[in-house]
Amino acid sequence: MRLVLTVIGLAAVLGVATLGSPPVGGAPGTAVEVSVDPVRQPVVCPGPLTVPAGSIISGDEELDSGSTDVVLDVIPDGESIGAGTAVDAEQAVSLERIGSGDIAGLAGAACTAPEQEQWLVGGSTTSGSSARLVLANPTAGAVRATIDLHGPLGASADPLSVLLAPYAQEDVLLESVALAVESFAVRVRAPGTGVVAALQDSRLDGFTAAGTDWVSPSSPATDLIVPVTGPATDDAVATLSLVAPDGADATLTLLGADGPLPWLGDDALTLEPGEVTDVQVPAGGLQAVRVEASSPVVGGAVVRIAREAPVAGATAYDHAWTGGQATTDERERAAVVPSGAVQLVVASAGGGTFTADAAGEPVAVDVPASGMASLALDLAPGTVISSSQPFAWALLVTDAASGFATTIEPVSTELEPTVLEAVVAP
Amino acid sequence: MSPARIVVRAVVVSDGRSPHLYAALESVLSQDPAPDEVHLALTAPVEAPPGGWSPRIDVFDVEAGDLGAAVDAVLNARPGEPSELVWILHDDMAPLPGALAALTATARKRRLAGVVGAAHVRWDATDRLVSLGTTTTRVGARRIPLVEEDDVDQGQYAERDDVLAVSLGGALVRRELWEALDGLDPAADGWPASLDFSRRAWRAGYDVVAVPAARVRHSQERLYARRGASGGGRRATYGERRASEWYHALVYGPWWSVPLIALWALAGSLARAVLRVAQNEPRLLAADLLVPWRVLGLLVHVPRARSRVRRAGRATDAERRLLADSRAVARHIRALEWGARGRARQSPLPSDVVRAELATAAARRRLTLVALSIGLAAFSIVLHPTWLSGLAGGQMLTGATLGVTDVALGDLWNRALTGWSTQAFGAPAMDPGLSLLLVPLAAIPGGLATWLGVLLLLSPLLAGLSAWAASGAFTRALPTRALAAAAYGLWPMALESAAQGRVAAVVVHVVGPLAVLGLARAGGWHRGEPLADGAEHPVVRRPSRSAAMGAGAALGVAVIAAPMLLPLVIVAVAVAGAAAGSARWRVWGAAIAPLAVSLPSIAALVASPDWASTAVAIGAREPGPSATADGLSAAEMLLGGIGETGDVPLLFEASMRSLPILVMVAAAIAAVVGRRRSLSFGALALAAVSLALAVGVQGITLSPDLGADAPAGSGWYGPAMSVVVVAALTLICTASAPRIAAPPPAETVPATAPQRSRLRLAASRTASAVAIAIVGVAVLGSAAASAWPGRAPLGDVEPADRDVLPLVASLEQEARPSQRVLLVDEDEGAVSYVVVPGDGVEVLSTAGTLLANGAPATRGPAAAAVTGPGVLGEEIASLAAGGDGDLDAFARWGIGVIVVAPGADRLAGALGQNPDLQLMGASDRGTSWRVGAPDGDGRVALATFVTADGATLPVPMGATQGTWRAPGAGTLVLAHVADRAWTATAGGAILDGGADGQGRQTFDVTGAGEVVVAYDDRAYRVWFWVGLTALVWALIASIPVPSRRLSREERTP
Repeated sequence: MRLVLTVIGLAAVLGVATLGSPPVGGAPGTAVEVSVDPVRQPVVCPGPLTVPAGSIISGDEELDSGSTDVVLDVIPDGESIGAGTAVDAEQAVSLERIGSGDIAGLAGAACTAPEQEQWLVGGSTTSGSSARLVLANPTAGAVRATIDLHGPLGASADPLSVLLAPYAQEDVLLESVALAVESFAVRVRAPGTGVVAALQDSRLDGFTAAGTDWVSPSSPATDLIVPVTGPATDDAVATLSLVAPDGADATLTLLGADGPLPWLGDDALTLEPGEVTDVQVPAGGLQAVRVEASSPVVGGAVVRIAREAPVAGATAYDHAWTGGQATTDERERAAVVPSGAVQLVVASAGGGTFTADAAGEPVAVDVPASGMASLALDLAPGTVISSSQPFAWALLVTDAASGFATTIEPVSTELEPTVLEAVVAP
Repeated sequence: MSPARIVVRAVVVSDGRSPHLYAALESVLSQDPAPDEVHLALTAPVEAPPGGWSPRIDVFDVEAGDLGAAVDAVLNARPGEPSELVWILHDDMAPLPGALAALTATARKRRLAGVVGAAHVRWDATDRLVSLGTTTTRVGARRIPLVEEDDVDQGQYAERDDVLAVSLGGALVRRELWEALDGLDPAADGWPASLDFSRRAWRAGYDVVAVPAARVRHSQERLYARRGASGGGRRATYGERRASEWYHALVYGPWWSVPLIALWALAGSLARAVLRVAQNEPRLLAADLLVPWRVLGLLVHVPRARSRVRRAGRATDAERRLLADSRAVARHIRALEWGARGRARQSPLPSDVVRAELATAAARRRLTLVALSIGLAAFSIVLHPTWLSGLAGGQMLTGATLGVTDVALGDLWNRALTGWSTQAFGAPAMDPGLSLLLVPLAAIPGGLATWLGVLLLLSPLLAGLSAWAASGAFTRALPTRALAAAAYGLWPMALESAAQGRVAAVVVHVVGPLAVLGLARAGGWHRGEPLADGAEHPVVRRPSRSAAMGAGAALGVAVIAAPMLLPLVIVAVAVAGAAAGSARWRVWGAAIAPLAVSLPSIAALVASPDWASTAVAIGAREPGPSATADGLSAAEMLLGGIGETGDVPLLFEASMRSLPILVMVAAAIAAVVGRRRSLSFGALALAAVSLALAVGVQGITLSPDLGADAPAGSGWYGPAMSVVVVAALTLICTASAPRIAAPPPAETVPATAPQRSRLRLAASRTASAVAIAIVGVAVLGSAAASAWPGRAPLGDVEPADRDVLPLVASLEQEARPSQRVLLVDEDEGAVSYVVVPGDGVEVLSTAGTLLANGAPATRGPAAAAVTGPGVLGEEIASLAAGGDGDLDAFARWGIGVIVVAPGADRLAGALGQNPDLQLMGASDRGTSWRVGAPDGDGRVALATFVTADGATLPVPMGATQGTWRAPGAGTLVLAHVADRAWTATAGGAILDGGADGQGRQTFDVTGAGEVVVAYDDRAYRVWFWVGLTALVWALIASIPVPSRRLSREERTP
């Protein structure tokens, strides 16, 4: 009897041992997904261009680094924030014309609102070049910006860190931290409301100005178009700079006024992670470049315009940087028309009619598929052009008499809600 | 030598309740020389003997309540010479032949002797002394006999003469002295009367002399409470006697010492009460607790008695010399408390051969134990090399599950006592949970952090030692014991529990074997030491009360740590008790402590309208840290639940994986071949049920250990699996106990039997040696594998500095918590946060158990759900995104500081840009911002007062109570979850309170005045004290203190 009991007990243990395990219990902490509308912050214009270190004052207008012929025009007006201007509007434009000296040229920039993350593609610190990063914090709280520098050899090991006081603007001369870098892509990150960033790219060829412009922020995308990559000649080359943070295989298409143009050379290239790749854009007139990539890519292009230098026999240049715009960007974007001869340049992959609103007046441009178009604007300075169509567009401002040019890119006027999940957990 | 003839007047007093009256009278009459007169004073009617009273006896019927009054009555009726001697006798005393002669001889010799006392001997054994003189201490609160009771009279006291006091029974008292002293003091039922009279005799200038040669048989009817119906033995009169001793002290002490002595009586009775609990003497406990009240009742007699003493005269040097000094008192106490047990021990003293054998076995056992301890201690330290150095360096152990372990004693006690859990926004708790178990650890210098760390660190050692102790109850084979202990200490799941900081599972693993040991000894089922001749020592193992209470304490602790074990414990104890025969009540007594600590949950279960839905939440709750673990099947659990081992040499890994298999296989074999079948079946049934429990409990979603809205863990199988392993090891140890060989009857043994049995013995010895070698290798390999540097970590517990919050945040919380702190971290696009009441996330003090619908279990499923930090999600996300967060939402719940975890830079930046938050500082503990003003009216507080015109004032308040002066009418708002146990009174009037829209507790203050706020959960406190008392009682009672009383079964083997 007792043995039977023991066997029953043993069988019970073995029987229980054949049981499977039940689904494991437990529950995560209470989570709330919240969509937060950010507060509209003022846009900040980076302020006047500065002559890079090594300026010469000789008393001779033609030899001096600086210039007395400087016109800085910020539309609309705003309050100064450091050297820059904070404008309490959804968009603003800053256009500066410097008639002579090392940084002679036309430099325009759309003023931007603070962002948590932005890319600035452009700039160089090779001999004769200067890259000046301008960071501004238009908010009431201090913020620390983290700057990653990418060059042809990849990202620098240590990111820079800049603490910005409330309502302050700070400059960082990139040549002081990364010398002899052919071409830059600068990633600026800042928490919370973010910071405003712009980069002054100034080049000098001996004593001759070789171009100055503002590089404006752009964002990574897998399909983007740089609307202004021409005119380009063999002497005044246009260069496309691309960087893929995680590496990508990219295909380039040249968009002309009548549709796609042949890309002379290899139109497919492999972008190594974090390395800046420069590609010379085939010579031509007004044209755009479309970049299709396997993973997000940030790009920008610089066009150069040759002119006669004050020194006899030499050629001076001005240049204009234009950032790439995602082909799928359907946000409301706007630009303020500056003074001067302004041309609307529109490029598109799909083609169609680009319509924009210019202070109530419609502006329409027909764009061929995989092509681009331009339209000279005759609008009062300060007019806001806005559109929410997924076209890449920019305002090309030229000063034909002096051979200066610059581009103004539209900025998004939509406030994107941030979606965040808040979860109770230790 | 006095030439005068001495007249002796014998007075025998009887209340007719002694069976020895006639024998007593006979022995008085047969004295030579006989007393001149013999009076029989009857205080109650007594039937005359068949032949009538002897004509020599002068029979009186007197109206008297006690001995003294009866003697007075006789002396008043029969006048005599002052010098005559009164021989006072009781009806239970029979003088032996020659007693009177010896007494009168001394009386004649000692002319100053007022009282000449006889030696009392036992009625039934005249060579055993009962009393020969008495003394007392200087204070007088302890009567000290001058002979040890039951001492054999070998003439060793023959020289004794002057003593402080003698028993008046059988003593000769000079009539003039009796009359001068006005007889006896009738108070205190006459218990101190002899001592009191003798001392007064000394003061009156007489001597008190004991005569060892005069012997009186004394059956001590009154002492043993045989007069009347009670017959309860000496213990029945203990309380009265003890009170009478205090009464004596009150009478003889200086006047100013009377209140001190009364207080001393009270304190002494409480101290003795604790001793009685330890001795498992409930009747003496009750008697001792009654003593102060009896003394109080005797106080009315004190003035009269003191004046009687004063009238007798002043204290003399002679009297003082005879008082007992402190050494005598110590000797007396030792003899009293320990002597009885000592005699019981000596009675079955084994032979020298056996004692030598036992000594050898004990030496081997100690050696094995020391080796085992050293091995396990080394293993414990090597297993977590950083822990020891961290703990020694003042750090605490912490981990994702364990939380902050540096909890102050006061906080822990407050949590245990009030039942208000401060986790999240607070919640009513059902029971104290782990905080009760941790209070002793926190009370030791070094604090909870150190000692909890030591507990976790040394858990393999502690578990191994307790398994060693328990295995000794079932087998005395040292290799088996050592291996069982080592295997238990190395059990992989227990190591995992410790490494993950699952404190409750570790506690169960350590105390589990102790409970089994206690039950085995309580039922008398433990094994004795086997002797060479096949016998066991001791021959009869007696069931032990202390062991039963020890089992109760261990089970109580285990049930606190793992409430799900309660049904298992109750059934196991009930079954064990049913099998324990005459010891069943003491075995069943082991269930009292676990039941008492579980009363709150049982009450909550019974009170719940829908108990089926709450049963799982309440029954399977896990106090202390909980977390979700991967699910295991029963088979995987039996194999030790060893997952990925990491980089461990193959041989060691194989050893580690094979150890649980070996244990289980050995248990299965033991179950089949073992001889103690009932025990085997019980262990198997326990293992099967525990295994099913371990599997099933994984599917349960527990109440979140960090309070409402926090992540909830799943049930942990560790405690139930510890029970399975204990059962398996019990099986193995039971089967491995060597057979107690009874020599077979000679005629049934065939001639070839010795040969065959020798062969069988050799075979079994070889088999067990091989088995022990295999398991030994597996144990060593398993230890090496567990402690191998490449072993994958089992948990995340590591030492860390005790400060968790940035200093500024801790300072802001102040010494007593007046604010909460919000800890925020970011993780892959999500913000995680937790609200902490103190310095970091405390899991150990345990949250109030919540039901599935969020209602506190102790309030039932119909109660409102507890508000948790989940309500802050939107505001926190908004803050993190740089939006306009509503900071009032934080202040509303008393959150005064927001701390962003180190590394969450984006979050820190976002908060930094919020103009309403004030940056307090940044450190490697995180960046802190203040919500609200640093001081004054804008300061965030756990309690705020909203005046009638809308202004808010911070109100100072402790964790669960506060007193403060309200400036006027308004609303008092507590940043705590509303609960019915929150009460507020203003000048004694109860204020109306309730929950506001946020779920906070508010009170309507009607006007200016002092307001007292407190969390006052009476039902909780009643349960708490019941549970605590039961647990402490069981703990004290488990101390094996020898008792003065020895029950019959202990006296006779």
